[in-house]
Amino acid sequence: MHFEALPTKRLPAQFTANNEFKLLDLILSNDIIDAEDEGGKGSLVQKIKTAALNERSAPELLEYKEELVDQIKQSLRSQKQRINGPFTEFQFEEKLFTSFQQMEIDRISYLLRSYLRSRIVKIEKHHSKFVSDETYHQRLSPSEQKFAQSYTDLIKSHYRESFLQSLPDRVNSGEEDAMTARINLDEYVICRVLERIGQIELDDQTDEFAELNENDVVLIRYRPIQHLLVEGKVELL
Amino acid sequence: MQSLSTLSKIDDLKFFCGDEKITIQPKFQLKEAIFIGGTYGPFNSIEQCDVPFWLALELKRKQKCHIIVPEWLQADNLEKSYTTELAKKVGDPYEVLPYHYIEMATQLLEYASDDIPNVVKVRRLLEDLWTASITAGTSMIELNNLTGMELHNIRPIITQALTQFQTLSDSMLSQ
Repeated sequence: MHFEALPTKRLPAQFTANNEFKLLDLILSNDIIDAEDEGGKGSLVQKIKTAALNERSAPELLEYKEELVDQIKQSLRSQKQRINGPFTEFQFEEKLFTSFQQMEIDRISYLLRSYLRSRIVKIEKHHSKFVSDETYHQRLSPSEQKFAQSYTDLIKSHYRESFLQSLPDRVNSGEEDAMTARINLDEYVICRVLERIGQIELDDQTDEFAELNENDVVLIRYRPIQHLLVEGKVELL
Repeated sequence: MQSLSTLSKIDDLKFFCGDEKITIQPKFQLKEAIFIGGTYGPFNSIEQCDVPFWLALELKRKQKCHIIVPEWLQADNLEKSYTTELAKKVGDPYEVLPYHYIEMATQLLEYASDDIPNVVKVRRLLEDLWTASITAGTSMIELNNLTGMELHNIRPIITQALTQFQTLSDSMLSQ
């Protein structure tokens, strides 16, 4: 019945959220951006939304957007300070808007969490890849690297203790890569073209080309648009 | 696995449409309100102003504003969209409606039905339009102007089918 049903379901209610923000505050760096001089704030919300959607739909793990995550955390922090600050005038409307501002904070931190959570799902799915493959390892944030390492260690020891030790050596090769899901870059994704790209090669064997124009929404294999996604010329839906 | 991450769920679509802008007629006075997503206002009973959809809904629930019905949700425009949708043949471009029109319309009907003129007609037209759009051909790869809810509907079947097809043709090539 409540419009905010989804974010409040995942994000705890206001009270618990406050506790979490205290935790967040601890983690945050000490710079406090003065909210008045931030021009591109609206686009900040748009950016984390795009990042969350891209991460959710892409078959591989994308580069960690450290700067964006830091900026979001800082905005959340300074906004929280504003609404907790002293009121000059105790207008009813101002109090009402404080609850709306808190609601916006909940919305944005839901987006942030959704971004981080979809990364965790991928790390768990392809864990050993992130430990062994340098390119993928570089895409993780430091805490994600730690997580990937300890997750892999746990899975490894769990497999060993539960069945690998009782297998004969010749089937027990010890290759973790073979035991985790393969990353399939040939998965199809739905993407929206943000700027005119022109012709791109779809398949090097059949020489198929596609013309991508601004605002086109296409269902396409991930591999040919992989570099376009990194350059920010397309977004996934 | 799917339930955790890969698919946009309907609740998420409802959540995402909250960032669309919508015009309201406030019933209170406030100079400005500073949000992370931007600064909105001034709010007074003379001027209309643009706010994000989620904020408009919350204000409406508190009886603090009237929502100005967007053009595409007005009965005659919906009627036009519906006739175009019916006359459409396979291969024709999809009807241009806002990406999140279903999500926004259902929430507006639920919380702000007193602001919508001809609400019964609007509700009926929306249902007709939705039925027409999901029964239209989906065998095309071009997905221009598909709305969020429509993409959600076809995504599992179409992406999985094509992914499977690719895997099959790959194994044919390698043999």
